[in-house]
Amino acid sequence: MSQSETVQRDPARGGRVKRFFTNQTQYDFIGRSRTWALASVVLVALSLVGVFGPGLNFGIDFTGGTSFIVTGADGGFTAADLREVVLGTGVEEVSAQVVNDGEGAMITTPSIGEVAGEEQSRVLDAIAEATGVERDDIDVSAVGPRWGRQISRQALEGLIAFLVLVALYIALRFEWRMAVAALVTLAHDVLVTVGVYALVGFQVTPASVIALLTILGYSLYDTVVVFDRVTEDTARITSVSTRTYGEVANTALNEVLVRSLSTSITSLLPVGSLLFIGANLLGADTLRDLALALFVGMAIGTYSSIFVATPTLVWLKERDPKFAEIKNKVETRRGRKA
Amino acid sequence: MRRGSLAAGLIASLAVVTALWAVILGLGMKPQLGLDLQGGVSITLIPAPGQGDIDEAILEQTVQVIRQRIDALGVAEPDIARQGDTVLVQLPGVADREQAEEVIGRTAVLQFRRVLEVIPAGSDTYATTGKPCDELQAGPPPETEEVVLCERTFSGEGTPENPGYLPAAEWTKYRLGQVELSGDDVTDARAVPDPMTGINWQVNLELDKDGAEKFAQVTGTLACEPEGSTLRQMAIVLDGVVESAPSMDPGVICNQGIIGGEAVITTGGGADDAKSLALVLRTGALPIQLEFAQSQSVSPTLGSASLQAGLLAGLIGLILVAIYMVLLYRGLGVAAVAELLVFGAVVYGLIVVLGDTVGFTLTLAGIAGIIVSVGIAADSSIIYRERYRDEIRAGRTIRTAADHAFRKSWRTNLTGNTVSFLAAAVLYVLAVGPVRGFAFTLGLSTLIDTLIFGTFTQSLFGLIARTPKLAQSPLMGLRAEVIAPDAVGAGKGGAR
Repeated sequence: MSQSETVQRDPARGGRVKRFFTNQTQYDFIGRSRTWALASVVLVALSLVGVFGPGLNFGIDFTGGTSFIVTGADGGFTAADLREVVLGTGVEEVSAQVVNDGEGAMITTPSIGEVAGEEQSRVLDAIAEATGVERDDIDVSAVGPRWGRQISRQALEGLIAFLVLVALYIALRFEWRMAVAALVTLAHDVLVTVGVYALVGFQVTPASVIALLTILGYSLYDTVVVFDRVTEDTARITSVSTRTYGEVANTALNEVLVRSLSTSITSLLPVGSLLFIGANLLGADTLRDLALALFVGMAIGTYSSIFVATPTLVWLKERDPKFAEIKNKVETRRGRKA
Repeated sequence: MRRGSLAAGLIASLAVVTALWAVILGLGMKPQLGLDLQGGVSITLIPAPGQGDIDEAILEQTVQVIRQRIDALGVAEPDIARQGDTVLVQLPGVADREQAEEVIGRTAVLQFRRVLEVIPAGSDTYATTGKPCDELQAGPPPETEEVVLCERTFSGEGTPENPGYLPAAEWTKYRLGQVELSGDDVTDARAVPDPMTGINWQVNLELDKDGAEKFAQVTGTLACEPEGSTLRQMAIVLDGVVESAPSMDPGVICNQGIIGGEAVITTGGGADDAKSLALVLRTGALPIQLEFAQSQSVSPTLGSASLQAGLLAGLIGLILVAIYMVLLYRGLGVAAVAELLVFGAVVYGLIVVLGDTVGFTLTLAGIAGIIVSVGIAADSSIIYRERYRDEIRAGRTIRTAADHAFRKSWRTNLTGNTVSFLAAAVLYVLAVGPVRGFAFTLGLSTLIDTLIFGTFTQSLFGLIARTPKLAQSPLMGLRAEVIAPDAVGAGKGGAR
């Protein structure tokens, strides 16, 4: 950046981007909270439609199933060929995918007999023959149906334990209203992330569940950082204050706006590169699934810490007699002035 | 804070990082890679449904049996762990998944056989009789034939809590007759103190009706052999290994044997010996049926491709974040990149050290955890810098702004990271498999982030703010004119 720009004093010449990044903006988040609430309600409604309509597309780790990964093949076969030979062994449902001009392939089936059983062995033979790869060189991942239920249950238990702990922590560190607002935000984030998965039809794998839990942590972290600032600023409100809780909270939001955006960008950059690199690699599904869910979730988490968490908090707070009274006074005073 | 103590903090934190890496490079430590990164077979077993409550001790013994078989398979560094009722078997570098599945999947069989001959290690016929003791058994020993099996032999050097065994190649061999009784005939086995003396321990064995008859017959035959002869002994075999070979008591009558379906085995040792024998008997009598919940094989090529992809993604992510930070904060951004590098060096260094010392394995999910933590680390730097800008806008001098900003952002960092750490800890405690690796690296990164923020970051920022040449340079991005052109001298946030 040149010297002439750095000493510039006229904000009007600073340009929108620069003004934004040097925190000289005052957006009215709280005043327009009804608009944003409507947007969130629409998002949540769409998500519910997604979950109860098309439903979630659970991967084999939840439903049980087997996937075969072929690497180092010489090509000469198509996904349709592979489907056909596997169907020929008596398996009822097969999906196949060929990558890098037949250098590798991935074939997924629902549970075939027992894990490590005879049926699995037959399918393995068929794939080995069709692709010309040694049987031992085909990577197999098989999951029994009961296992999926078990890990789903564990994930749910983890979620509940986490929510209880976090609600307690926020209630102790700040206050109960913030704990409620944080939980509302969290519910919003989870619903919308799950909704995106249902509507787009992304496959739900254990990695997506890990990611979902991380998103919860991330979204809360974001919310807590914002609340930290709101607490600090609103501590100065007294009964003779000229500004309402909502207005002070709005200023606090503006103060942390650049931080929220910058943090989202710096978090999304590594996740984005993970997504990009993982997309072209067979077997690195863990990376890709994780990155995808994180990408979706982090974006939603950033949105909600600004547009859901604080408006909810302000709504709760202004029902507190103390702050309701201040708001009343401030508005009366302004009314007289007008 | 004084300049001197800030400089000391900076030097100390750099010294710690240097020392960490000196140890790693000096000792040639390498991270322990998970199966998904180095290739291998991973199998998860869970008890088959309909077995009611699972007996902890029997499950542990069952896992012990699986461990034995894998040792015999000759896998380097197998990892067999139990989490609740779930058994996780990780076999790095194993290519033959089907053999591994066969070895792990079969249920342990308990057999009672007559002892025909005892061949201790070192005797003339030891090498030529039967198979070497450290070789893998192919399935349970045949029931109707004579077999040569090995006895788990004490080295005599262990402690009572942890009895040491000789290497399997030196175990005593037994030539054994056909199977007289099996696990099906046993109803229960319990270790109890000797009711007469109360000092020595014994195992009370209970048999069902069918078993009682067979037992009476075989013990009757054994009792006719001369006292002191090995032919009076009966071997208890679990999964092809002789666990004990008690001799008939002189009080047992020839051709009558032990009747009534109840027998007492005195081990001659204390409570531990008796309890472990009782457990062996119960494991054979009431075996836990384990079924494969999940089985996965990863070829070494696929593993190293994943590792490279993960590292590359991390590197690209780090570079992009660095560019963003420098664009946004100029010189302070460069300092932020230094903070990120220190953070990365400590996190990766600790993962290497933990891998080498306590066997922490880095998996693909773990790498993802590290990549996510880059965002967390960057956020700490951002919060500090944004705070600093706020303080400058409020009209503070560079030095006091830096100090105020640190105090406030330090509190935010603690609060935020507590939440992240809680998330990681809950995940770690409740999850299985890959999720744990992810939670561990995430939790570790969160801790290190707070640690570095309190030491390196504080010192670096503080020193820059106290060095007039740096602080006044427009390139550094500390001066008010750069951050808030219109707000110089004005109050915060404008008039309302």
